[in-house]
Amino acid sequence: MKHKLLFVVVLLLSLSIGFTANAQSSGITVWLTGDDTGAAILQEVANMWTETSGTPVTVTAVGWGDAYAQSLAAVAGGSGADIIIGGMSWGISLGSLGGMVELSELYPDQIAEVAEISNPAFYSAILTTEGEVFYVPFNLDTMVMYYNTATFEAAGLEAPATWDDVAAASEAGLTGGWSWGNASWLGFQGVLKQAGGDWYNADCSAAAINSEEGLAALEFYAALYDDYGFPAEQVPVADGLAAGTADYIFSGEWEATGINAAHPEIEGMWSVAPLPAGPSGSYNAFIGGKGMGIFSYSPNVDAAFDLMMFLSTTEAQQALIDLSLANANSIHVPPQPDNYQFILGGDEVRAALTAQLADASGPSNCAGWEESNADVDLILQSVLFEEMDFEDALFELEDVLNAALVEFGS
Amino acid sequence: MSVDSLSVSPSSPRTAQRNINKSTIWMRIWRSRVSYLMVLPFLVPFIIFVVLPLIQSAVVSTYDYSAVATDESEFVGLQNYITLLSLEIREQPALFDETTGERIYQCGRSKIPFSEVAAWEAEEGRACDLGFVRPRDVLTEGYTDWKTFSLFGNQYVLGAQDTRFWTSLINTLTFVLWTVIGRIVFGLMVAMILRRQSPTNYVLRLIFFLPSVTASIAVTVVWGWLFRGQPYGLINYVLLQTGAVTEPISFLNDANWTMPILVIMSIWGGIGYNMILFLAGLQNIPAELYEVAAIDGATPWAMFRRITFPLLRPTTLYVTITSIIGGFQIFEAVYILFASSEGMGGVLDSGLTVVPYLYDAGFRLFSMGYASAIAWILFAIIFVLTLINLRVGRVNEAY
Repeated sequence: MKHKLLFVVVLLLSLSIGFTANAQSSGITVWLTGDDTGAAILQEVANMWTETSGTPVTVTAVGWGDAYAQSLAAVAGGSGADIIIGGMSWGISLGSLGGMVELSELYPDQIAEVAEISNPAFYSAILTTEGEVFYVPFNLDTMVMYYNTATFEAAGLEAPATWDDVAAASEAGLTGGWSWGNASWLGFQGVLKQAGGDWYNADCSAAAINSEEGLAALEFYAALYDDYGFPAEQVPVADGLAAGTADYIFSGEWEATGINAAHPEIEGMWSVAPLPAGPSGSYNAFIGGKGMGIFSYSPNVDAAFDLMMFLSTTEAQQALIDLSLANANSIHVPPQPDNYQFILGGDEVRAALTAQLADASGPSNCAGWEESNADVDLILQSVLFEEMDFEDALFELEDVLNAALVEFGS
Repeated sequence: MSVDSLSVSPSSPRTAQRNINKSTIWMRIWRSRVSYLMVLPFLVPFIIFVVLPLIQSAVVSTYDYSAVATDESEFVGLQNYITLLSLEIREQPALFDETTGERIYQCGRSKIPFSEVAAWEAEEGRACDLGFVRPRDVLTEGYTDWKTFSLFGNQYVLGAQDTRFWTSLINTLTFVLWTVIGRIVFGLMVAMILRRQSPTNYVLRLIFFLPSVTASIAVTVVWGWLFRGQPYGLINYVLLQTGAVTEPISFLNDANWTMPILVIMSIWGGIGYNMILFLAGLQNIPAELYEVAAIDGATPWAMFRRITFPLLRPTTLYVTITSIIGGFQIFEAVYILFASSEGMGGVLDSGLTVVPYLYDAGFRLFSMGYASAIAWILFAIIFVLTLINLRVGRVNEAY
């Protein structure tokens, strides 16, 4: 009996020592939204920072499906990683709940520098309307147009560079399709901006969608599906180009390195270009990507911020670009325009991405936008699939956005 | 001991009885302490992980609660339930041209006066509908239009404070109805066909049961490939090759197909499990009953109607209740097939059911109070339906 008691005491003591040691660890833990390969790549780059700082870093992958809920649970429980690298809108949503460190107040000089060197569209999407900053950009994603060079050449056409070109391509029997952002605000937003419109006015005080530009955007958007042969369903880029079901497809830049791998038979028969420009001359596309933020409960705020600043350097971004292509056959798009020159994946891809990133926009940071998404999608889908009157749709969109502004605005 | 504590109150007999009952309960517990100790390893986790969260969820459902910014939580009483359940019906007036007074018609996407309707219809080859005032404009503030319908020549609009919840509820009820019917009918049919003991039937039973033990996520992904809307989607490929269609059907992005797809998947996945239950029920029916019926000249259909089905009633009741409960909890199929950048419930929310909507409210918008209220409404619906089922089952216990 005494032996058993002694065993239990020793076990409890060793466990408590283990917990104490764990609590006193001075390392930085990073949750990277994505897969294990991405985490391994980031770990390698973070180790470069460890060499100079002496602070160990542990990078853990968290799946896209779980990452946001896991972050919220961490904030609610007050424990978890120090840094989250995740969806671009999470910084504002987690920050508004008090879960993230407001960086511009603690590190005004460095954040001012980040603002200066970052892609302006991405930066404005992570900036709150009150000027708070909870995130530092990590990488970018944007929409581009993949097209079949052979079919366009056979039709005697260039890749569609304007809305008129899209109509001309349709007349020549060439069809398009959406992959990323099909039948949702994510795809429509680019069209809206190409028409010169926007969801809200500049100071986020009212919806601006119900306008002539909004009407032109809706008409063109519906024409894509009704007249220009865009299928209701999203078209996978590699399969769609290989099977010939679409001659041009709008999707994210991450597809570029996968097409030849999935279908070697079409290597050299496709290319990439920015989206077609609308009547305003803009060829705007949705821009997404990941940002880095520090959880408010983190005991290592300074070290974590130092690591984030390191990951924003050209040295670290270049390493991420190289390792991503070598280990994951994926394109890491740096958030700093000065670093676009290092993008791998081919000259055409780099050129198209550089051009598109110069005219792109992220999700609105106006109050209630996130909460309005589902209703906005429903209205857009009613236009596409239920022949909803364009003007009615614009009034409905305006109502929905204004109601959310009132409900969720300060 | 003070004198007061020894004094007897006027209601002493009742108090004394209560004290006796109380001491009896404690004595009973003490006498069965070993049994209770045995139950503790289950009971403690059950209380911690089931009972307490349930109570907390009921409390949270009366708050505007985000779980993160807990200091900003606000007690709202039954407001979450009111928002979810409120409906309003209003008449929807017809549209008239302000200058000419002509009735306005909705022709495709355009609104045109009556005098131009004939020309439009001739050109487009399809009919126009009467135009009505925007549904949203006739509803009280806070309500949005959910459905419009005609009754006795008038057009009405049904509004709700949360139209997406009602959509999810109707979708779920539709799904449950068809799934329960399908699973019972096909499960029983397969059980009847495979009831004889033979090596072939053993193999076939195994094949039918396999979907029930296959990971539902993997199965859903495969169904997703089958229903792809491209020419290389497997079902579309077959349809195109056989000439049944000339253009691929956009199964996953057509609101008309969403529910049939979910129902087909669910029935396919549940037939095997129900078949096993029905087979067990069939084996409990005495063979003599069939022999007597055969001697009396009963047809196979008469035997099924008068013997098999009535004696399978307990099994059918169990299958119905479990299918209803399972149906209301549908999540993975909707999430995997339809949740994407296009929304949680597929195109036009045609596949949005209650649990994915709850997930969306709780884990995307983080309205934990609201999500808890949805969960309790779902619980209430399942509870009532189960009670009705049990009552109906009891009424028919004569068999």
